[in-house]
Amino acid sequence: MKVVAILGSISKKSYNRKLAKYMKERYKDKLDIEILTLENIPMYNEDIELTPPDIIIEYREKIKNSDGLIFITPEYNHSIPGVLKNAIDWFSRVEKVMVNKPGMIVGASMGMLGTVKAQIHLRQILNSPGVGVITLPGNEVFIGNVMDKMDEEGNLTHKPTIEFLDQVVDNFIEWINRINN
Amino acid sequence: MVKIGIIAGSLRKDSYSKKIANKAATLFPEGYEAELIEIGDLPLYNQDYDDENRPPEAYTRFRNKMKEIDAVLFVTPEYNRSIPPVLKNALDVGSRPYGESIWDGKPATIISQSPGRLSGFGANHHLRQTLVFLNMPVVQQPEAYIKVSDASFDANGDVVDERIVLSIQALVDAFVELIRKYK
Repeated sequence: MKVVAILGSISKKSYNRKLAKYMKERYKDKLDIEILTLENIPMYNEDIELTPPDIIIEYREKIKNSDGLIFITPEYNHSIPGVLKNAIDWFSRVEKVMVNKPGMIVGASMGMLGTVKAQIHLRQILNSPGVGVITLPGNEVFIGNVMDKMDEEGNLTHKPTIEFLDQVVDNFIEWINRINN
Repeated sequence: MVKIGIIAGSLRKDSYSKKIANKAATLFPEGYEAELIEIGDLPLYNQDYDDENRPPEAYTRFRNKMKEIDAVLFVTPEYNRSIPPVLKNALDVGSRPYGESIWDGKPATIISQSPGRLSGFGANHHLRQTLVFLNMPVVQQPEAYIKVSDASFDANGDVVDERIVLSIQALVDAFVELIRKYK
């Protein structure tokens, strides 16, 4: 089962980047996770949407060929980062490749609430007609105080978080099977 | 002189938001100077730039300009039930480095617009939540959800629909009232 993970931060030291790599490695026997990074996507502008750059064409294919999508998001100013909104908006236009794709959301932050406000906004955005992702309900992965829950290599070390994430990923696989069959 | 920064959340050449922004700039009273703020050249926000003390020139230009601004009028379309990425990116860039947000404490107001009847409510509401975190007091009433079409504007991009002009004027008047309370 192939899924595409969309990483909503472009910083090198991002905890969410570490989380993406951790998930790719930990779940490799259940899911083939390809991580898409967003730094090379130009700012969306309707004037250029009919002549998209190669990276958009390439990512559209990967999304189309995937069984599902994992959105990995930090929280910037009570919402999702501009860079993540940018990618979603590109994929919601001309060729709406995310419509009817099963999806799930995870996020990590240094604060206590672990990206809850960003994730609520993201659920609304994913629900909009041009995006149309079929997001796994419940299964809210808010990893707060992440610096206390990860080691130097970026592996999660907090057992309750790992167990919860394992369960969510299993639920997601079931969700994908339900929707795609 | 009170300096108003007007930020239009779209890059499209014929953007309705820009046309409304330009109109709004003409509706402020004596003692107010309104200008449109450029946000289209800001590279996608990456914390590494600030952590490593090498922000792009466009970030520095934008942040320095915004330091001179006393209050901000946002004009936004709606993309997928939220604000466009060019606008969110500008908000993110202006909010950092940590502790140096150029938005802090500045009065703000929002016009959302779209060709549909919902007129950008999704963008309007998401933007409000970000402005809470940025500590910007925002005009509560009137709310400005403006339904537009090509027919709302003339060939020069001027707003010709009188009802729209009245809506913008009402919002600007309330904005001026709010700014007075905070000055």
